[in-house]
Amino acid sequence: MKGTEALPETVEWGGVTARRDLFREFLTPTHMNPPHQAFSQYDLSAWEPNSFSIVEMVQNLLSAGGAAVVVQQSASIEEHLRAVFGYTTRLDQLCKQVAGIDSKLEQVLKNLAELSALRRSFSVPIESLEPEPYEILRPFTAVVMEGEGEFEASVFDLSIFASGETEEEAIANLKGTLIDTVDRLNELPDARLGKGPLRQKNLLNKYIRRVEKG
Amino acid sequence: MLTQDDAEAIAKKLDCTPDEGRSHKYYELFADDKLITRFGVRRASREKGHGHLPHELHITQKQCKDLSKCPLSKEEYFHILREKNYL
Repeated sequence: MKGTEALPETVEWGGVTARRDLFREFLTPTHMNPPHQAFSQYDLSAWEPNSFSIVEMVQNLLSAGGAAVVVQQSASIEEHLRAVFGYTTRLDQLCKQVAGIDSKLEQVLKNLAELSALRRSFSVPIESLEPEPYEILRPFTAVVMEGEGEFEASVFDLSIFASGETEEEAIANLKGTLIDTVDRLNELPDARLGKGPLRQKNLLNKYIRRVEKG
Repeated sequence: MLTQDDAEAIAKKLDCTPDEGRSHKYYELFADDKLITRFGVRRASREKGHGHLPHELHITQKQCKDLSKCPLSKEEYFHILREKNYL
């Protein structure tokens, strides 16, 4: 029979006084069914069950030695409970840390994806224009970048740019553009060159020279 | 992606002069009888990329598209070149 009275601060049982807060942790309607005689008049259903193992242990203690043993053990059980709560707190902290790490990892993965989406680039030294009849007076470097479905090669300082489906094609096109540009700019008198092309012509002539064969 | 069609459209809009190089076809832009810039057109498939165009025209890829598809006029393009000291 379930009691209806609220549990008092202390309960006299087996010649000892038990504190309510301890019994509240240990005794539940589920695990003391029917509830012990000493508590039959109280409403135990309002108590929330705590750790099953602790309830089971208390039940065993009650069976073996009665309430006196429970009270004797109360101090160590309190310590256990505090430890459990300590672990819970620590677990909460760890969960927060894991959530933080998870969020950072997500950001790192996002950054990696962005990096991989960025255009790859590499440098190619231009040391020869063979078989074309041109010699390189000063070696220079072309930069090849992966673009939108193509590769772009450039010698930025000389304002020479070209595209290709592959890195090799882009470099071959760059060399072709280089030669065509030198030829065309040298064809035109300086008076017909705007600021950019005139500067480009002067610069190109320092790097490339046509060689008359034979 | 900028294509050969874009290059051809830009050349037409800017009244460029074609120039046949040994490896590519080029378009030259003259202003007051002075060469301002020249850009190459790949002879192969019309779908091939022309990512080099923005560099050669001294504008951004978006401006290149705008120049090809209408929003950017020849006058506006010349204004950009003037601001960048190419004219």
